[in-house]
Amino acid sequence: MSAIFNFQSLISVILLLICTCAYIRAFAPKVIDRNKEGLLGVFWKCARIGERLSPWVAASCFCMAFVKGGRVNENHYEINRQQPAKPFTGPNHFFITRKTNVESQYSDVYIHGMGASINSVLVFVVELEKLFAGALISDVQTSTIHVTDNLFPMSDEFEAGDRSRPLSAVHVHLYRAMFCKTVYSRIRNLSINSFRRFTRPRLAIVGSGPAGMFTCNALLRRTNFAVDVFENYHVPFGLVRYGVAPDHQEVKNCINLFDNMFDSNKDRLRLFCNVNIGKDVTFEELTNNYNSVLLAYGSYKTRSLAIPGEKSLNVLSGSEFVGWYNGVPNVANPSLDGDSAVIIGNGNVALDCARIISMGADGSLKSSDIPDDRLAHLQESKIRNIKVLGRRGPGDVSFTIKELREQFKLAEWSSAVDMSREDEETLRSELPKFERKKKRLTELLLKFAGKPNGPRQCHFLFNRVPQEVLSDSCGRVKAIKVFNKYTNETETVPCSLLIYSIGYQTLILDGVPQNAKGMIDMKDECRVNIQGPTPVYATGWCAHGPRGVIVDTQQQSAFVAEQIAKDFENFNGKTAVGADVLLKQRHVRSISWDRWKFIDNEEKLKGQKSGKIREKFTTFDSFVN
Amino acid sequence: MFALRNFACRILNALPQTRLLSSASETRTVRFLNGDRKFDANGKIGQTLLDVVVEHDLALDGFGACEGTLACCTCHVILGKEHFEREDKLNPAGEEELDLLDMAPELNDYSRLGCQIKITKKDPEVVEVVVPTINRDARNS
Repeated sequence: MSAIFNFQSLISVILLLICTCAYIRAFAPKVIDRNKEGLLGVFWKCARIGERLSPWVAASCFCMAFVKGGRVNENHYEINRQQPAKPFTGPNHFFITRKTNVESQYSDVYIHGMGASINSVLVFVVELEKLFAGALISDVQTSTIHVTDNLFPMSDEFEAGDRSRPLSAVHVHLYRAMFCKTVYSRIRNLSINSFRRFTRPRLAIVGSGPAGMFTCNALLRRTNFAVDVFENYHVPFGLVRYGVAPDHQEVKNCINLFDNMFDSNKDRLRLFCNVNIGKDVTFEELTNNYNSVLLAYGSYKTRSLAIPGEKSLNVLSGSEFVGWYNGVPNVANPSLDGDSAVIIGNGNVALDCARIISMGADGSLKSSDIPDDRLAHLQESKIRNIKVLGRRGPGDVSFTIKELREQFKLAEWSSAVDMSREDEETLRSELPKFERKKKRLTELLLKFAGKPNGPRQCHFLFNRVPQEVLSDSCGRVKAIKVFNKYTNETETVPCSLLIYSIGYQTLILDGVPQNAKGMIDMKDECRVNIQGPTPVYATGWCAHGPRGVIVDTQQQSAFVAEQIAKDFENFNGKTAVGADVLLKQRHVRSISWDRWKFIDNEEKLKGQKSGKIREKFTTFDSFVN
Repeated sequence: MFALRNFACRILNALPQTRLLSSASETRTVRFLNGDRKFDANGKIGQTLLDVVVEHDLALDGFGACEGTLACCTCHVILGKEHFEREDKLNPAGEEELDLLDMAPELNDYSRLGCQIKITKKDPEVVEVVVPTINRDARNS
């Protein structure tokens, strides 16, 4: 059957069929004449051709005998394949074989391939088009190239000779669609050998917060890694979206950087939101399906107060409150109908909570991205008295000066710092010895030492150790009992809302090693102490605990990316498969980057209508595929 | 046809360079020293250091995360002594900038935020600034 795919053989077969039919008809005309029409009539027609045009058929048969070609049994010859003459020439023409090494420095190139390498050429061109999405135009043409093989017989029964065979060839002309400088420089630096799409390492990043995204950005800049980012929430960017206070919109500008990163790395960067590592995909499966894993999931378990009555109603953690005003889905409204609130903790979360409660009423958050329903709830707040309690002294606060100053600057609120006279004197005398950061912060605290006055007050109290939460008959908090270290007496501070922010605990994923302190067991700055072929890294708060502001995360990210790039410098393994197949098999309804951009756009449009930066959605059911 | 296109292309690519050359006196070279790495970039007078980094897309990771809105200190730079004093006279750091600088790692007496430092006519041909990188030893201890 295969003989008829070769043109010469096909002719031979037809000629033989004609001769055979004519021969059979000469002996037994009835057999052929039985059917003169239809499929079997073909034999009759062949016989007639054979009879009527016999001289021509004979001549044709004679010709075919002299035309060499067709199949040669390759076992009988030593074959020397000659290179066919190149139909096109020029320095920017590339002829792809299995051994091609190409360095291109031209603005347009021609790529040629034939036979078995056609596939490689087409895959390469398709990949290039994807890489330069729209900026590159390819013109594909095909042709037939005749190649000649020299045949050297291996035994005496065969003759030496040549074999000519036609081969399909493909010619691709690649040129720029736009005069885009970046594309031009990328083409210039392109080398086919360095285009190692199928041997590049695939990295999984757990968490799409600032730690994960900054590291991802630094890594993509340095290496050819393919990266999959997993996020537990329906939407990306972690604390940038759900932690940064709505009056600090400028801090969220780093999202533009992340947007850019996703847009310009579409071929190797994927986002999977709404995927819980540990539930939808286990950590072990991640290590099996990726060349490397980077943990950057923060540390989102709040440390509890661990005092009696902490389960009373309207007692919530700082991160819960922050999440609430930032629009985390499925968070109940705290009751703000009482007169006073107590916030335990001397960090920035405590300051953020105090400031947002204070700002709720004055309308300055109206154009921010705070969800409408939560702002409305804040505006109805009856809280007139906020007390920020610290367990240690005024010299031990971990506020940052910018946030503290903002609290003092609030127009309608009178804020002051409660300090004993001794404390004040010691701090004043020690002031010159402090380093700049602590010095300026202490100066600010000293400047506002005293008692607040006016209808709305915010008071910072120090050396108060919480002892017990007191609740009313409905189980709702009515006061907190604290031990005053200045007077060595127990005080009762009335409050209708209690927020505590005394630090976070790192949540350890199943399968990740843990050290004695309850943190991820680290080998060094960024490498997790884990056995097995897949290196695991950790960065951000999950690696070192919640400390520092965005700049610390950013600097650490650059460092971690540098280390990962160094470890994978000589990577020559195979690209791991990734976890997307697993997600599909398990019907996990993940949200991709494109889907997030759709949500993002909807949020912005909805916000625009009411003059806001965006109106965050608090349910995403309609957006999950 | 292709030759024509190539020719047009080359001219277009060469254009920005000619523009830079013609106004050489209006530009300064800013040298960013980042660990072992060094980046040179041309900046026009009046541009901030952050503008220069963004325009040239320098590989300084996360530099200027808040895009120059005085909300972070990722564009922290350490100036030379003379440069700092020159800036301090004309354009001293405000309270907001000082507050942010307090949080900057590797804070130095000559620290400023890159988004607040503009290139001026008084600057020398080559302005050198240090972009601090993470100090590993400090973190390990």
